[in-house]
Amino acid sequence: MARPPSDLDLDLDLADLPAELRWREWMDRIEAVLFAAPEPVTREILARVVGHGCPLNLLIEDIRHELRGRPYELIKTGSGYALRTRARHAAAIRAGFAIDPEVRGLTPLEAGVLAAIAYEQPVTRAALSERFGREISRDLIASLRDRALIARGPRAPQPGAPFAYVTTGRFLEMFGLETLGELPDLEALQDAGLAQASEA
Amino acid sequence: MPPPPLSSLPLRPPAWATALVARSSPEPPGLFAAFAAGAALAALDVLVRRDAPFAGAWRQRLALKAAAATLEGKAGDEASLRDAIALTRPGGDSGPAGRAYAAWRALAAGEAPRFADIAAGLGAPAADALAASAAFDAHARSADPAPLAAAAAAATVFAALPRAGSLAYVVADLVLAARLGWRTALPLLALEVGRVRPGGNIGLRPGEATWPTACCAAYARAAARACDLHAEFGAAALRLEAVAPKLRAKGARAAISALLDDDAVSSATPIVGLSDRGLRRLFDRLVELGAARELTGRSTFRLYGL
Repeated sequence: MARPPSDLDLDLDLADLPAELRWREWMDRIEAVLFAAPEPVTREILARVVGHGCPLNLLIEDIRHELRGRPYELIKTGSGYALRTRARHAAAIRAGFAIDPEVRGLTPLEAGVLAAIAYEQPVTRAALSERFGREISRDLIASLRDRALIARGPRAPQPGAPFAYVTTGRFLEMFGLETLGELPDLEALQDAGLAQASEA
Repeated sequence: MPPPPLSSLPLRPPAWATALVARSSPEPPGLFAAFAAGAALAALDVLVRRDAPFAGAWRQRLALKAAAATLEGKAGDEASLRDAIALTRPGGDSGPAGRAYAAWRALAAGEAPRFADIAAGLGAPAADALAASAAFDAHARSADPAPLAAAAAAATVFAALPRAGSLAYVVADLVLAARLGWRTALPLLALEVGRVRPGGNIGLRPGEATWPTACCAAYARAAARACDLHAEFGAAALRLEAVAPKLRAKGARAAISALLDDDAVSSATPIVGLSDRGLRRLFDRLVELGAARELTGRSTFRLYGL
C-alpha cells in the first residue's frame, strides 16, 4: 500500500536502532499520536508512524499492558483507537470540572429511547412513541442528537416523510462498543428478565 | 420481428446438474456437488461475460438477495433494504442494514474492493478487514478449482474470525470471481448459505469436513438461481425495449437506462429533462404497458424496477 506523502520525513523503519529500542520508539509514537488526537485514530493513521509491516496489534497490546495501573487506558472503538480515562475516575472528573451530573447524564427515558434506537434502527419518533406507549418528544430526540449519540437516517415512507433515526460512531465510542454486533443479545436479556419482549 | 438480441437469450444449467444438488435430496457426495457446481458456474460464466444491457439491475438484485439472506428480522426484508437505500440522502447514514446492503451493492457493482470499507459496511470491526484481505490474497491465486478455493477462503476467514458472517461470504465470492477471471464479483454464496449460527445447520459450518461439499452445492444452487434471474431480467428488458419507441417524453432514454442499471429506481431520481412528476408519470405508464414493475405496492414513495 502506498503511503501518503509526508513533509516530516519521519524515519519509520529505524534500521539503525537495536530491536528493543526500535520497539520502544514505535510504542511511544503510537501513544503520542493517540494522546494528541481529539478523536479515535484509525489503524491506517497509526500505520504511518511505524515501520512497514510492523505488527500494530502487538504494539498496542504492549502499550495496554504498560498502562495498567494508570488512570487511563487504550481502548478500541468503532472507528479506531483512543486513550480514555478509566470509568472509575468519572466522579473525580465530574467533581473537578464541577459538572452537574443532572446535566450530563441521560435520564432513564432518554437511555431507554437510545437503547430502542440502537436495537431497532432506523426508527422514527412515531414508532418510538408507539413502542413506549407515550409521546417521545422532539426535545428528547433533539437532546440525543445534540450529544451526537443519534443522527438522522433514511426518511420513512409515510405521510410527511419523517426521518428515521440511527445511532452514531460517537454512540459506540461512548458505550465502549466496537461494533453494533457487540450490543447484548436482546433475546438473552429477555430470557434473563432484564428486558421486555417487544409486542411487535 | 427481428430475433431477440443474444444478450437476452436465456441460459440455464442443465437439469441433470441442478438435480444433483436439489434441496430435497440428501446432502450430495462431494464429487457430485463439485460436478454440479462446475456445470452451473459454466452457464453463469457465459452470462457474466455477455455483460447484458440489464446486467446492472441483475447484479443489484443479487446484492439485495444476499443482504436479505444474511440479515435478521425485519431489517432483512427486501422491501426495507430497498427503502433504506432509496430514502437516504446521498452521504446520509442508512442504518446498519442499509450499510450492509450498500456493501453488497458495491461488491456487485465492481467498485474496487477495499476490505476496510466492506468490513465497515457489514458492521465488522476494522481489524477484521486485515484478516479478510489476507484470506483473499492467500486463496485468490490458489490452484484449486474456483468453488473449492472460495470454500477454503471462507473457512480461513471463519477460523480467524468466528463471528465473521457475511464478510466470509464476500471474501469467498471475491475469490471465486478471481479464479474464474471475472472482473466483477457476484454475490452468490450468501444466497444459499445465509446466516451461519453457532450450532446451526450441520454441514454449513466452515471448518467442518463437509464444508467444501456444502459450498460446492451452494454455489451450484446459487448459480442456477442467478441464471433464472438473468432470464427473468432478459425477458423484462425485451418488454421494456419494445415499448421504448412509444415514449416521447424527453429523458425517456435516461429513465430506461436507470431501470436497466439498478434494482429499484425512485421517481425522485434526478434525470435530465424530467421532473419528479414527469418521471413518475413515465414509470406509471411503463407499469401500465407491462414493461416495468412498481415494487412497493405503496401509493407514495414508489420504487420501480424491471
